Amino acid sequence: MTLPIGIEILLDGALLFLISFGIFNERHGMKIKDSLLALYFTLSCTVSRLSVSISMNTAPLLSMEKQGYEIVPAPSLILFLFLILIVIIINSLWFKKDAVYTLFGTMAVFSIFIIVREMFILLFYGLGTADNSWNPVICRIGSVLLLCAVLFTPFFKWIQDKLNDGLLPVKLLIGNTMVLLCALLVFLDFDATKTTDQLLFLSVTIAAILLINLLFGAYAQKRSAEIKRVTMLEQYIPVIEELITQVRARQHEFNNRLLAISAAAQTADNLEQAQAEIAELTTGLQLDISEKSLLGCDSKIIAGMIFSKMKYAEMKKIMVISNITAPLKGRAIRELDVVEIVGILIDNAIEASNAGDTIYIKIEHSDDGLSVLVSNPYMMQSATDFVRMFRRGFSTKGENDTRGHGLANVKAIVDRYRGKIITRNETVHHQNYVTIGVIFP
Amino acid sequence: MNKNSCRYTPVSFQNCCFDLDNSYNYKHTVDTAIHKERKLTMFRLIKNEFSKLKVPVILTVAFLTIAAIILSCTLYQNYSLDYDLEAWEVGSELLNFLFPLFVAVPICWLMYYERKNNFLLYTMPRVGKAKYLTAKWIAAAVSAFVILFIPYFLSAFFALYIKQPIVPMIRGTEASPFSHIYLDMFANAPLLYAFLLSLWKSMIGVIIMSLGFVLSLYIKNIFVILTGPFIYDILENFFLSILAMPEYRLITSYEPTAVASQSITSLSPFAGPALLLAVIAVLWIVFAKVRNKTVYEV
Repeated sequence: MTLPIGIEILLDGALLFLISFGIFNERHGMKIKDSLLALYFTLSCTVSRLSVSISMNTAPLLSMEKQGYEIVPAPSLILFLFLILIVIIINSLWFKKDAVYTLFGTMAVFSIFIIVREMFILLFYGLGTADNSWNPVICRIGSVLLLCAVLFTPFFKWIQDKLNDGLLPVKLLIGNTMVLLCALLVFLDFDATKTTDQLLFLSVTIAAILLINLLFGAYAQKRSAEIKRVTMLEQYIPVIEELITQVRARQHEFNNRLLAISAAAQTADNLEQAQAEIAELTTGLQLDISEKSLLGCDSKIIAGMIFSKMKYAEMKKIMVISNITAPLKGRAIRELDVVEIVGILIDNAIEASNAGDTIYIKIEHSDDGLSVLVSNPYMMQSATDFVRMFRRGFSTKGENDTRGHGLANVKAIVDRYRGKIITRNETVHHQNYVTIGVIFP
Repeated sequence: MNKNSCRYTPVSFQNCCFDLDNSYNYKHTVDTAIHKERKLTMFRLIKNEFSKLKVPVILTVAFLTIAAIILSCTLYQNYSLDYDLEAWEVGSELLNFLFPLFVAVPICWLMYYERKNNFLLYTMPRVGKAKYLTAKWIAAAVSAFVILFIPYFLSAFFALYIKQPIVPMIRGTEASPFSHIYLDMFANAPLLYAFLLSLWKSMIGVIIMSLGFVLSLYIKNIFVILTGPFIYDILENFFLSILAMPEYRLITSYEPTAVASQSITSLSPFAGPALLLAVIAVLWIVFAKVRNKTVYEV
């Protein structure tokens, strides 16, 4: 094996490893054990280069192919299919994801592989240095360095989220990208030099792939939002209906009390006696302020969610007082994002409170826009403490993979809408309260 | 045999009670009834398995038939050929290479999912393990056979009678005469040759599907189950080529034109399938006897 072929195989294996690791690995950091995976991919790339020549009178000749491996580590569609199958098996055995994730994840691996490699081929071969024998190695080094950089961005996390959602449009998107890229490879005859010859065709094809994917992506996003909305409607509408039923039940009691008050006023001997009897009859008749504000809320999903959290807090003997005065519909911020933010803030407040505490929720419209504030009793926090709370992975219960994502998600949503995060210490009834909230313009 | 013994026999065997004087006749009647009942159960089980597989199998047959016919009637135009059936050979190359996938993927997923969602466990009280697995294998074998036989034979028929006939430039020369395995039959009875070869290929397809079937009985990774036969085919092909025994590869048995006809020996058609059967047996022994894995995992 000559040195450039060896380097090419190593770099192909490394690129496959980096992309697969990015798409399949969900834990933090890389372990020494993971280098074994890189070795398996390198071996797969080596096998796809082996060629056996059989002739009648001579012994079979085993050799390493050099030409036709510039774009992908296979010189034909059949060998490429074989390589894909090997990589699927390796990924399924190593990462232990479900079958659908593994299948579409591997398709995404090869799609990214081809796109990145084609980019560098266009860059280096297109510069008029097609005769340079080091071009294949340079393209591979460039691809590996780019993927190393991409590993530190949220790109792969985003792909993982989409694959975990498992929506049909996402699968279609990955599938059609893979099929189109394979068709492109067949058209180019797996030859990198043809890439520059067919520059116009290639540009149109890549633009078409991107356009189709954008359309699919937009559809997938819309579909995902619809599914989330329906799920939340199913979850919270019955809750708010329960609240309405409770209030209606009390309406009957109110009617009886009104009749009693009327009778008391008519039968009283004097004004003092009437006042005393009416005062006694009106005790406990007022509607709870929180329930009143929830019934007045124009978003049934948000009202239902807050009511369910109130009931959950009630079980822990924590009181929740909500005050919603702002309309929530017809705003730039999506209802689902408000639900997510309020849910996270209330969950955090309940977790930080003890039995007997009171949590205040305030959703109002101020000069700066819509503000959502949640306050709970907690020890005084410094500005640094508040900043640290919004870091991903930070939790008062200790750092681990499953905790410390809530406030980081709140920050991500706020950043998306160019809103602001509010944090402050307040004193309520001689007790320090921590208030965390957001303002959306 | 007393009357009481018949009291607990199934309803379908009640007729036997009328012939108590002759115990031999009674036993014979019962045995026949049991035999009939068993055959019926087996038939119902196989029918049930077919109903589970019918959609993927029909789709695969339809896709492969259309693809094989199109390839057999078009690809030959780029070649200088002597006989019409050669167009079939040229057009079937892709199918010859990918056939382990076409027989494993539409069939072997079923056993994996029945094990995964514990359906298999619920069949235990109703039907014996061996009977259920046998019925499943028979349905899978027939499906695999159909998946390969229909596309191969129909594409051969199209290549022989529907497409434009091939007009050979010069049919072989004295220096390099046209050579082909079973040349007489190939040249004079091409439909019979195509029929027999399609039959043989379908039988090999059944054996390679059986490899996937055995894997599906013990392995929990669907990708290994579905691609295992294909990977085996590639690796066997690779290693036997390195070992200078290309005439004994499975692909040589499957497609005799894979090597020069002079290299083919009398063992060539059987060596590949025999090795494959040995591998299946070894795998079964390793899983079932050495590692004590069970198909029905509770």
